Amino acid sequence: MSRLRSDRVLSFVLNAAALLCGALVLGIVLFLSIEAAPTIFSGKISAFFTDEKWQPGSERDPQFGIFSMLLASVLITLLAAILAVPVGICGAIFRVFYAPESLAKWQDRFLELLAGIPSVIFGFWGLSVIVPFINRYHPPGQSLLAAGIVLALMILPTIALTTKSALTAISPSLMAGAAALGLSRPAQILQVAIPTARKGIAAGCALGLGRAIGETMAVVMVCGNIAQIPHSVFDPVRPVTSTIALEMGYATAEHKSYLYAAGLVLVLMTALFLLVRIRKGASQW
Amino acid sequence: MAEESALIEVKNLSINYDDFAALRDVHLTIQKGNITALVGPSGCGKSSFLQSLNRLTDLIPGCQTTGEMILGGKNILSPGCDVLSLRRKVGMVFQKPNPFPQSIRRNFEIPLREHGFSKLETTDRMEDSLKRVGLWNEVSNRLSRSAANLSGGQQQRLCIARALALDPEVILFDEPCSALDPHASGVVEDLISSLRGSVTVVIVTHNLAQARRIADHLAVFWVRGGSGTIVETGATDALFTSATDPDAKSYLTGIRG
Repeated sequence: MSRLRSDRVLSFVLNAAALLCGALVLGIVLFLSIEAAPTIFSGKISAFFTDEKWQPGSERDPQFGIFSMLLASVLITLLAAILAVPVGICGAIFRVFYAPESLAKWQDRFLELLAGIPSVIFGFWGLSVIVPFINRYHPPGQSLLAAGIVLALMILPTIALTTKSALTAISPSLMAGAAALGLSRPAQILQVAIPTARKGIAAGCALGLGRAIGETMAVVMVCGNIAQIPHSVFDPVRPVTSTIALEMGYATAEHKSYLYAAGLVLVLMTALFLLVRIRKGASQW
Repeated sequence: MAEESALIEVKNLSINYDDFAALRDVHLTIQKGNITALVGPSGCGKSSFLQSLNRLTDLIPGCQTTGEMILGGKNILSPGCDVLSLRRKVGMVFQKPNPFPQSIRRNFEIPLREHGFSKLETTDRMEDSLKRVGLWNEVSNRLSRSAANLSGGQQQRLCIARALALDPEVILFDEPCSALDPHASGVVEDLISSLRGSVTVVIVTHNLAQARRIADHLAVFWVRGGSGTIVETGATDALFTSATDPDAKSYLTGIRG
């Protein structure tokens, strides 16, 4: 094969792969939009935010308010982030700058293992350990808090491992430069290493949060699944993902279309979140 | 040549990396306010020697230093030495320019604030040292922009300015021009030369012509019996014309190395 031709073949394969990646996202959004179209174009989508409750099956008074579920999705994600981001970042700092080599290796291995545990196992574990524990102090146990804790554990390895990669990617000469200026260890880490790696750390957090907002299986098992606006972290909640998972099996006609529309809202929310991050990443100091 | 008075006395220095003896039995006197160049082939311990002068060797796992390095009456190598204040007194500029990838201003604020200077002093010192390296006019209107956007030569001058801002007694240069283009290299070389008298300079260089142009004193490193050591020291001109050690002679006259 001539060099030119092999070049063209490679270029074609790479282009095709890149195109497929983009097309997949567009395809999924398009599919959701088509399925949700009856709701969107009839203007009934406003029911999402005007209806008070979610009772799609009711014969007399079907209602499609998803505000409480969107709120639940956001709150669970936020809670998971509050719990997992500091622990993940601090863990990575320990791993890179303080842990002896032998311990560091084990920390990596355990985190990778944690990342590999299927979400249903997390849910199962949450249901049999976290939920009864919360129940002892603040019944019922299945709650916003339980979902937040389980999700935090699930996204912790993502955040810790990407932060670790970002920190180890810093050039040793930069850290030697910081040391040569007489900076103490904490100053080297907080003022030089973290700011240098901040894009990578932010990417890790975004990846983790993206996973958190879309996670279904573990959450559905521990969140309580009551569509209501929570008044405390101990109240049961029901995020959008759970609703879709629980109802898609039997939903018909209008109900089904509303579920697709809810899915679309979820995708848009994630996209919005990523967009904000890209904007922030692009701006310089 | 500046007035002669010893600032650093190195006695019997050896550096080991685990079982490997990188440097053995080194003796050297570094004169205050002078420029001392360390020359010799690669792998003969010049950089290790330089890094032990501000205890940067501490960062290398398995690295052990023995012997004495006396600066201001205190042994740099003793375990009780306050490494942070040592590094404030003995600054370092590296082969590859390594400004923090943050704003130019932050590059000064981070070390100066850490060493207890007020905001006002930090601004003054930043301006002074940027003027000293001839960078002030080029960057004064973009101090809040990233230092990573500067050219290689500008970055290296920024690093020198950053070291100067702490008012060190000594600045160590580890091949500071080798990653720069010839023009930037010339600018940095002139800058190092201009430090003579106010700061003591120790510079590792592979560029013998450069050593000859800027150094007052020369220390020739060579590998002897598997380990690096200093084979000859002396005033630059004298050594280039009449070195006694055969290896040093052939290296300096360009016959070998």
